[in-house]
Amino acid sequence: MIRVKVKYIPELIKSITGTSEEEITLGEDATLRSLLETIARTHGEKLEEWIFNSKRELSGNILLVVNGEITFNLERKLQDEDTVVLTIPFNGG
Amino acid sequence: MPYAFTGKWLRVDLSTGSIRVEEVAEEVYREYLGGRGLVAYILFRELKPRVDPLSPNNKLVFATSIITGVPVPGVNRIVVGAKSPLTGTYCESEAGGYFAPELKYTGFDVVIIEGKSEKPVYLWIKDGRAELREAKHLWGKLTRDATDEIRRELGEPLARVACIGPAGEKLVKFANIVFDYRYAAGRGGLGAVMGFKMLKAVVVRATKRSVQFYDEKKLVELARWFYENWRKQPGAVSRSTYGTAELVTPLNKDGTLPTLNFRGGSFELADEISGEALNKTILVNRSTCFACAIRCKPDVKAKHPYETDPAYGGPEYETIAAFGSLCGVSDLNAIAYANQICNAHGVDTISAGVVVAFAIELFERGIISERDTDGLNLRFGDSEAVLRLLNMIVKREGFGDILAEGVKRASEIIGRGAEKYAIHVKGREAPMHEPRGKVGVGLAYALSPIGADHLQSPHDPSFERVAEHLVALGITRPVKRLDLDYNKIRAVYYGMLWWSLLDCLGICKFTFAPHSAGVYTPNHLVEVVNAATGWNTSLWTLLKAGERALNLARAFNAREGFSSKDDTLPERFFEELEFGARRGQRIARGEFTKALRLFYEIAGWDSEGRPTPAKLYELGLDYAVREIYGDKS
Repeated sequence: MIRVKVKYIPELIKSITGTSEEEITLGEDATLRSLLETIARTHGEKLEEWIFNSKRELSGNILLVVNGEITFNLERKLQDEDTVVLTIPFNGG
Repeated sequence: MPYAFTGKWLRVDLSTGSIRVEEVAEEVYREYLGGRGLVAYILFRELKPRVDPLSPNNKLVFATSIITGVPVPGVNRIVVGAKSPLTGTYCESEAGGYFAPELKYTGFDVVIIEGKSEKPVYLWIKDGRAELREAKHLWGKLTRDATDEIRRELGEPLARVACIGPAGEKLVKFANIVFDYRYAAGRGGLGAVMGFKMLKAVVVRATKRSVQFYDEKKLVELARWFYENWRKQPGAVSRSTYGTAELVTPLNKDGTLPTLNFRGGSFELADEISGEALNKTILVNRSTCFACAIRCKPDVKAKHPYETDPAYGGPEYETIAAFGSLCGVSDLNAIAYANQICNAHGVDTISAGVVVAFAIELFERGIISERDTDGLNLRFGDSEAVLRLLNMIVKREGFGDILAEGVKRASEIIGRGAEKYAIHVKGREAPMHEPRGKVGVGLAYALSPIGADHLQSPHDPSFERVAEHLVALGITRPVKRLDLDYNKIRAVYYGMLWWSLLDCLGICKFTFAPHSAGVYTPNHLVEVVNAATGWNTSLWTLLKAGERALNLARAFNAREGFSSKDDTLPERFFEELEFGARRGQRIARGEFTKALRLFYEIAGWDSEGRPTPAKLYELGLDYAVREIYGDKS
């Protein structure tokens, strides 16, 4: 088993998850996709709709940062103690 | 009459009191569309080079666009322009709300104000008729009081009012024009131009709509699509829930929240000024603009000792950061109060916040002392001192009189090395986006024809992932936010054409992709234009109009003597961020200069940053070639 720290930065996402940070335990061969599936299952349909598009790919609405690096590869393997940030690609205003 | 626009411009000469209506050919609208396009067209053709911005020879233009008034979310902005008294450059500034559709419905697409009145007046436009009315009794009044008084005396509670406050009358160089108490054509000192002309207000009211749109059913369909789809997009829901204040938390975590006069990029008390904090403490309601479902505008009621009037609206992100993190202030009540002082007296909140932060840094460094500040002890984090200084600025009292000139001039007056701490481009104070963490924003700051501005091109995070809407704009490769290679330059350039187009059409950049809150795509815009006008235009033709307006604005500046030496950033952005999540990060000067050169070549500009004759010819701007290069080219 591995433990991954997940941070939710935008207030909007925090308002759904009810927390700005949580630790999630996953299987040894966990990927970003399995993490997001777990988050979507835990926190409900609204978040799921925002995370995934109709083809079950990452929607353009969510930005994922793994250990400080932006990634769009949902098949990326996660390691024990990885930090994953879920945010919106805010771009000014 | 064509569909979607009236083809009529109102020309008002305040020196003589004459008011004329001009009929303008459809061809002009085809090439310039409206907004920024028409403002640049009018100012370039009608202003003599080197005209003093605060003289009767400067002109003030209020422009709608070919699609203003369609019942589509985001299409609501009035574009106001003149030569800027703050920068000496071309200037235009946009305001949301309801003024633009109301003006169009009165029967005029554009209002051009010339000359200077001998006594205070306001312009009253109703259903195709216009008159100048005496405004002596309004001179000196705060924007809300003046607006209420005008509506009362006209017996027109539904009139839309664009007015200046006392700061515009006192020629504060970053005075703005305030629409219906709270929407502002904020930047570049347009309020001072209006104040110099002794024009207190422009007031519009239409009791019937004077334009028809080609396919009203299609426009309603397009609006309905927005209403049905915006909730699927978290960026739009976040904007609707928290307003622009949503940005405080993510930018703070990212290390790009301007803090303590741009010394750092994270503010330890950011949680106290976040969107969530605003919602929990001072928010009483949300307001919106014409036909928009997002409702992102905050109405706030701050608490003792800073009670505020919700009619003045509440602080947007830019204001929260400018008077909050930039000044080290964590009291939302004080920030809301600063916002109200700015809206009531009529000054730009961004420039005002930057000017105050600049003065505090000078004081803390010992460059100025209580002898300079009329006894005011300036410290980061001291909200009371910030508000006292702001009050002195808007009234041009004591030390405030120097700061009312903007950071560039103020730093030159103060001397003693103060220039190093004046954060501006071309004399215009930098907005609340840290280019050391978004280098494309730095490029846009340097290249913008109006000086530092955050709404010239989408910000770097927009380009990190290639999505359908970016492909429509020709951006097919993802670009990392700190990259400054040809891919980034290309993305920023194409983005600049797109946002220039949105300014030509008077559109809110938050409702269209690639903004995180954007719901519509670029192709939706083509549908809106064609449904409104009956034209059969394309995204290519529209982007060319955006490019034409951008080049004409650059050509205006070239004619004024601006060159590549002015396309730069303040020294501080080439130095390391002192603290925050991006501590140590800086923009490499050599790389940045190289990027600017490549940008010039991509854009068709020469080594001085002037549009080349070939580029101007390509855009149909032959008259600009003659003006800049003479008859020999």
